[in-house]
Amino acid sequence: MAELTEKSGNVIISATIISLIIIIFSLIALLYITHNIYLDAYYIIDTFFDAPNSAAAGDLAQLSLLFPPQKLAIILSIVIIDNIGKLLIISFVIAAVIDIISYANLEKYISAVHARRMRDHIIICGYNPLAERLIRKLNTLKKKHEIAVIDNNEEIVVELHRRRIPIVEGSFTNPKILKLASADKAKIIVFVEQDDAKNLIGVVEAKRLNKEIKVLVRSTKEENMTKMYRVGADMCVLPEYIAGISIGEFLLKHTGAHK
Amino acid sequence: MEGYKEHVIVCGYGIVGERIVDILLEHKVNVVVIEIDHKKVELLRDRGIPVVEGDATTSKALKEAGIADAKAIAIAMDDDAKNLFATITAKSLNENIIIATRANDDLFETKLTDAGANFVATPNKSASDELFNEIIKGL
Repeated sequence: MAELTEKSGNVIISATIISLIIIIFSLIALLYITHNIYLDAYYIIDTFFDAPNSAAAGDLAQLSLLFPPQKLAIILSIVIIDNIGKLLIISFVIAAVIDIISYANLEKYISAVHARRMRDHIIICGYNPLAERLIRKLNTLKKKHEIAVIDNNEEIVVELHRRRIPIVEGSFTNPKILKLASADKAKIIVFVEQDDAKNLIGVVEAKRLNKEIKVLVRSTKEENMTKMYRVGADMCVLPEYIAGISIGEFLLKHTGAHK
Repeated sequence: MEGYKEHVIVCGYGIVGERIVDILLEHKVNVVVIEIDHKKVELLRDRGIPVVEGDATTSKALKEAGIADAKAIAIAMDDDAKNLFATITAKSLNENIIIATRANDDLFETKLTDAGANFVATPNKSASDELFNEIIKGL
């Protein structure tokens, strides 16, 4: 949502700058011909609010009364070019507004607002098979708990919108993104990415935002477990490590090495 | 890998594979690793662990690791499809071999069993159980 607002803001700023350039250009061009700055300024501002009509030379009659016939053709040409530019800017701004309220972005907005209003909820950072399994299990609970997901993969974001799972798009190592998921008001946060460094940063940022939050984290290496606990994790799981042990023990049992 | 009999082949020396190798070596089980990454192959050679450099899904690498005389095989690569492929190849080369493998995706658990795996570890399953139990405590 923050990125979306920023993108739309950039479009509006660009449109404003372009329209100012066109107004100044038109003013200079008309001044060169008419030598009457007040009349030119009035006319340009007036036509800015009447761009569609002026671009079609709808006010030809008005122009013919104001300027001598020998200058009318050139003035009319400037006014038409000027107003075509304004029409383009208007279209540009309308496109930006449509982009904001388009279906996909509206879903993003609703999802972001939903996540922002959550309290005592569970945040899952990173969406992968482990996260999916965990969400499925949480949804089997009789008492339903609100869950928000943070992920920066566009495909995952679209998929979770489709499944009506509140998602905040972005990196969970960014405190602003954590705040958008209301980490400051959440009860539990779970980091399930397969990247220990990212998870570690996530734990630090989550604890900084909310000292009371319960932090569960996944680690791929045993040596990183102590680091996770040191920065405030309440529990650390090692899925690959556990799998290695279970396969090793199975093989010991079935090869006769483990009596 | 000549001279090896009743040994265990470990395919993939990632986080899971490394743990398996450590456990087996602790119990003095003969191990041969198949690894595609040259850096890891060098590391294994430095540690004195027999290693075949190659793709564990191919008959060539499995034969080189002595699959015909092996007692068991641990297929522990990151990619479920590769694990399935290696399971099928291993079973076709040695009907009696004991196969233990891993699945990241639920869908592959039954596929690997159907292909001949005797044991399938699902890292996400055990981890999600642990996380779930901890979450319930905190709610």
